[in-house]
Amino acid sequence: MIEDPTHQVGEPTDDIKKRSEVLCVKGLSKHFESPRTSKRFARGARERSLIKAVTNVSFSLSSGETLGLVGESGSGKSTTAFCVARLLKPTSGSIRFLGSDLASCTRSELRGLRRELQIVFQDPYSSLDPRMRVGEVIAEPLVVHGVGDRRSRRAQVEHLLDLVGMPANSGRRFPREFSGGQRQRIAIARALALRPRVIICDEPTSSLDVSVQSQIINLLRDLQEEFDLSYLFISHDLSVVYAMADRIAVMTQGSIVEMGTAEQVFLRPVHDYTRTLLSAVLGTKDVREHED
Amino acid sequence: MTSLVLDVTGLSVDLRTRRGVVHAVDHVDFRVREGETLAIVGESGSGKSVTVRSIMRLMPTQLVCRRAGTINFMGEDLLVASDRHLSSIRGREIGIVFQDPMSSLNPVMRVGDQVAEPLRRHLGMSKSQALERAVELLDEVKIPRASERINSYPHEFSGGMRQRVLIAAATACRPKLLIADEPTTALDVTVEAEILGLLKSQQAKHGMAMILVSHDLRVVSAIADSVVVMYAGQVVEYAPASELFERPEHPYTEGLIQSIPRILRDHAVARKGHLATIPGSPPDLVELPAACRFAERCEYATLDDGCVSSLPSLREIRPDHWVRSSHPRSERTRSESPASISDWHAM
Repeated sequence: MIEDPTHQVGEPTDDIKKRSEVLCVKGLSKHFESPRTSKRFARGARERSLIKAVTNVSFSLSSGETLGLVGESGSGKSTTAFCVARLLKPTSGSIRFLGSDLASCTRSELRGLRRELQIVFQDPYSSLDPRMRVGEVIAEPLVVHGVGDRRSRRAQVEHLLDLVGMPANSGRRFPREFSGGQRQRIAIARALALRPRVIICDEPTSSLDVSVQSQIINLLRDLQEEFDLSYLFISHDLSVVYAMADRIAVMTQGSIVEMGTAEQVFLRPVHDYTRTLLSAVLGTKDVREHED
Repeated sequence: MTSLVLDVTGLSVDLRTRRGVVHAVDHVDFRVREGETLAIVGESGSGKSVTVRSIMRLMPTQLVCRRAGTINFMGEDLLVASDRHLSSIRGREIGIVFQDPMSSLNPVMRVGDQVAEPLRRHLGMSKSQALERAVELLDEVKIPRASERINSYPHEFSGGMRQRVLIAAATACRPKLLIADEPTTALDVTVEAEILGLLKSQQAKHGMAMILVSHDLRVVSAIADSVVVMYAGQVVEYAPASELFERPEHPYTEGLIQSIPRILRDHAVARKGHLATIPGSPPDLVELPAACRFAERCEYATLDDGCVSSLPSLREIRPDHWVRSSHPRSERTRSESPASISDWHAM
């Protein structure tokens, strides 16, 4: 069903391969122990079981590149992202980033590395501190890392607001005064503040309406071009990933089952799971056909 | 001609909030016939959920400060029906499936009892009769080993399975109308297709009318017969589904259809170029202008033809195709290249 003879699958990776690699994940695994069950629920208290959320995941990311990570809920895509951002400590594996290993580095090293690696979360309602003004939200990373003085930070905040297409006076207002799409712009401005090399986008458009979703996708693309950013772009929505990513990794049950250029994965999927996923999205039309 | 099940005319609902009165639903009209699927689409805050919840009077009473219009269901006006009468209709004549199957099922009640509850309550079945029937119903919605699973609790089911249970409970009394409020939004894509198929087959089997509320045009295009597009509390377009997706008239509907990233079509363009967007955001429902509510975001709005001075009325531009705009597509002189939903299906 997925065929497009007019389209030549070119070699967009060649261009990417020449670029320098910024992030290289090898053999990443993350296991969780299920919480101890209390004696009252003795039936479930047999043994503490091990949940293998991510098993032996490897991928790399070049500068200016977007790697899409797709999968359904429970596939391990967010756990992978959280390990890369070191919000979780991986059970095993290495995460090479700018000459250090994020998986094993010390706290102080991590602090320096985090300047170069930022994250934008799914829900802009819960990811922005409701008691901070937008200007403070955006300037916080600069304060934490001791960048500039009060005055230069204020100028920086105005510049960042402008970059993400928000009015200059938004800095004095509170997050609750803004819509979901605007809050996501604020979250992006905050992530950009330290001029990182890599931004992890964890379902950045999933809680937004369609018309706003495309605004955010366009913004992320423009910023990528301007700052040569690399994105690790996580989403369950295949059409959004297709619009964003140069390469796509498909995850299910904690492992990557297929990885390739966006064209390869979408036009010539190899793994059965990828096919199922694609036909579920493209197949909404089929529901109607079956009924007719 | 099949008979009319639900006829909503001039439905308006105002809600009381801290910031003032919100005109959540404003003069909404639509009709649903037996066996028909009507989809109500819109973004958050468009009034789609308030509309369907008002049909069943499920909006919290302390919130609603004004209701007007008529909701004619099988010859009686639900808007003025007594609470007692309404509760005999809910679950019996009108079934409802909500978005989140976990919070709409009772976590401390066995699944079988939850499906049996409407049977005992509305049809007066005994406990054993109702449970026996619940097994058949669960079997019908393809829950494997239904006779064992009736003793399970909701937490033992996956999201998709819970939604199946809800569908079984909602259709247990063979209602005339099934309301599905974002039934697949919380589910993964592969499960979504199964649930839509199940809804469609249940509907065909029992000849129910269905109202599907969704923000997802893809879901709507898959199962709807006719579509109501809502924006800022109003109906902006109302047409048969094929007509709406092939020839959308309202600039907002066009924008919605175009904003969806399309897979496998013009990918060079779609991937490298910019996605179409609708600039700006919906108006504040507390301070609504006496103008077209979409004017601020509309690329065709002008000062002279009343876009900003008066509210356009809903008019029938073609038979059965209603639109609320001074600039519907077929009346524009400048021809844009609009994308219709058939584009994402043209592979």
